[in-house]
Amino acid sequence: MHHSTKPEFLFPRATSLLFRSAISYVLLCLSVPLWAGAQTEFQFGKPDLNLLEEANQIDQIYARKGLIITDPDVTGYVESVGKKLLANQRPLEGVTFKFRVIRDPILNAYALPNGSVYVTSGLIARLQNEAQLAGVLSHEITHVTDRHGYLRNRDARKKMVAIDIFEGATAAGGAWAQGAVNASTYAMSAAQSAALLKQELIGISIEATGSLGQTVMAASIVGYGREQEREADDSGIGRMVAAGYDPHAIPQALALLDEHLEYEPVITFYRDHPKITDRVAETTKLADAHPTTGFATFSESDYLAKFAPVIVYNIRADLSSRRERTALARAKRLLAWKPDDLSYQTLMADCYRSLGAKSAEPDDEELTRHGKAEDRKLYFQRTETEEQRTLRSKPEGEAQLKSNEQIAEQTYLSVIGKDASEYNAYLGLGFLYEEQDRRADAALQYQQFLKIAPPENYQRLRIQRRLENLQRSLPAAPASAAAPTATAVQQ
Amino acid sequence: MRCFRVASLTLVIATYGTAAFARHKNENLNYVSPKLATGEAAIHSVCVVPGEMQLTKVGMKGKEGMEKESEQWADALQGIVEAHLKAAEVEVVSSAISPDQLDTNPDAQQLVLEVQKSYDNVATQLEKHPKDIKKHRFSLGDEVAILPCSAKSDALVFFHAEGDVLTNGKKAFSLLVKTAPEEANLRLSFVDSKSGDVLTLVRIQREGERFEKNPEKAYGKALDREFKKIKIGEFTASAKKKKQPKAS
Repeated sequence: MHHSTKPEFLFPRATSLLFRSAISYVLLCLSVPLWAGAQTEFQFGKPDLNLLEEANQIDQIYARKGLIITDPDVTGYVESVGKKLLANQRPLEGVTFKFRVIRDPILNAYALPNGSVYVTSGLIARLQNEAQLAGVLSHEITHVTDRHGYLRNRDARKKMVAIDIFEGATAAGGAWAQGAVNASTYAMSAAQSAALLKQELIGISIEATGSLGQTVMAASIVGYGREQEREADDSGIGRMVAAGYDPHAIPQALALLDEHLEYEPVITFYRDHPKITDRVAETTKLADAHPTTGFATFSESDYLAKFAPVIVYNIRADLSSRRERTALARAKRLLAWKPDDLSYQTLMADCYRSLGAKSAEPDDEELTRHGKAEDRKLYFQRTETEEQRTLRSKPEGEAQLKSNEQIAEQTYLSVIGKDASEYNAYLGLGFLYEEQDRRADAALQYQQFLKIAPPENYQRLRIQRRLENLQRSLPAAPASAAAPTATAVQQ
Repeated sequence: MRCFRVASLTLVIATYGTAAFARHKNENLNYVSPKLATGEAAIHSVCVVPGEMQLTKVGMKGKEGMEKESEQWADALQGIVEAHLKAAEVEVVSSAISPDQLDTNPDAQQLVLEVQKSYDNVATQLEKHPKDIKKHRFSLGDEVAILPCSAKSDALVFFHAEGDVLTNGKKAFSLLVKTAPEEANLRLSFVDSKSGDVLTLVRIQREGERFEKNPEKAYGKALDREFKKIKIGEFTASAKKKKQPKAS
């Protein structure tokens, strides 16, 4: 009797067939976009209604957490721009358009399927005029009217089933398939994908939504996909023209966003280079197809007058989020508009003080690919304190620190010289002197702050404690001679 | 063909083996800074800063939010943590901000956002390298003192939790294929309410549906054990000295 020396087939034939079928199905799902493009009448299914409910919940979360800027002048203005763009829009089922500014220093704008359109304070602080704002809003409106959120969600759900089938057939393909789906669906780098899945520093507003509407929130960071984004740009331009806005404002706005001051933990769709340069070229071409005259002009001065409080808020948010260079750039912008405003001068001084040993602009090395990768690595490795310590350990860092501190000190003293009731300048000067270990001088500034700041100022307790610590550490003799004046520093 | 079969089998075994090895188990961890360990700082009162507590439903078609369940879970967890803190003789001063205040006082909201931002600035490094707490590496800075409750408490407690809940379909599927289990992570970071120094981090990881349906059973005893280990409340050296009977 002949005994075969070959081992028996390890997998039954049925499993092999299942394996091959699963591969085919997964490849089909990954390659074929499963949406039908813009639809005239959208048929809601159960997953769509669930997504709509999640969008409503996201609105409530934002409101509950105080993330929406509720200043009626700001809200009213943004709503009025949105309404102009919707002048010819027919009502849509499940959509109530709302336009809001959200407290988040990341440059981004996104729309939920229920018609809520959010623009971050970071993006507001970067734009220059109403036409550019209209360009951003009109783009986002198209994502709502063309139901891109729902279509994306349906697509993602089908792909998840494909992953599960693949996982079941191979017991090993899950991670690979997940990565492939992420890469194809959201077109992002591996690092961004990992960061998004772990919700690392994806922005205050998006992090606040937790696991709600994951597909839509992911799309709000990295975009909806090439076709849908092109659709949004195209329709958005048409909508702008109909509302009387110059469509060239869209490529102008996009060009503004191509800014590289510091490392961004997550690159949103509005900041993704080289996609931005491609989008600028494409939208310019689309805009050129329309007449170039007959549009209203909008000044930057009017824009700043409307949004100055938002920009001031965002500067403080940038300073709290390790974005000191961006904060300084925005503060300088406000000063260029109103050079005599003492609160803006104080804000600029705060930015220079916060920079510490960092330069106001990135150097050439930081802008290279290697430099950016190095920045990213160090951003996640080091805390802000550690970053400053490393910079200060180098001679150029020490020199930069001295320069930044000098500018900050001169500016604070100049403000105090013009108006002795500017308590924030005393506060900033106190922080600066304490960092320089000039304890007696710092104590004097804190005392002045406590004397003139309003009783309800939330910094009082903190400064009181600092003053007590300083006074404990100072020798028994009275504090040193009068604090340096602007004249003395210049000498 | 033979090589392909052997390679496939090896891959399957390796995957299951790795998955089994990497599978999260119930786990309690704590990291204590020298300041707390030596008694230089002591925690007898805390103020809880509302953090993110999220449940996510994981099904065959991806993840979905569980907003209502998350709220209920968050309330239950906060209640449990506060109850066990009180059992450890740690006074829980009024929460950083009550839900009513959040609704009506925008300034109060902003203070909490500011302090949370300070936490977020160190959170990435803290979560990746919690052992560095022992090197006194992490501090939020004295910005934390802007919260009104900072004056009345020794520490702020930053409280975060996230959990994945599998649908019935996903559970059935997991019988066929090893998938990520139902699990939840609870993290409590105790931060000096004056200086902002991170004093200790407690991490409790739980698997199985109990963390959602019966959080007291899932976390209660673990919290008691960890509070004892990190020496807060009745377990601080000073509190123990007070309790010792005086020599006659």
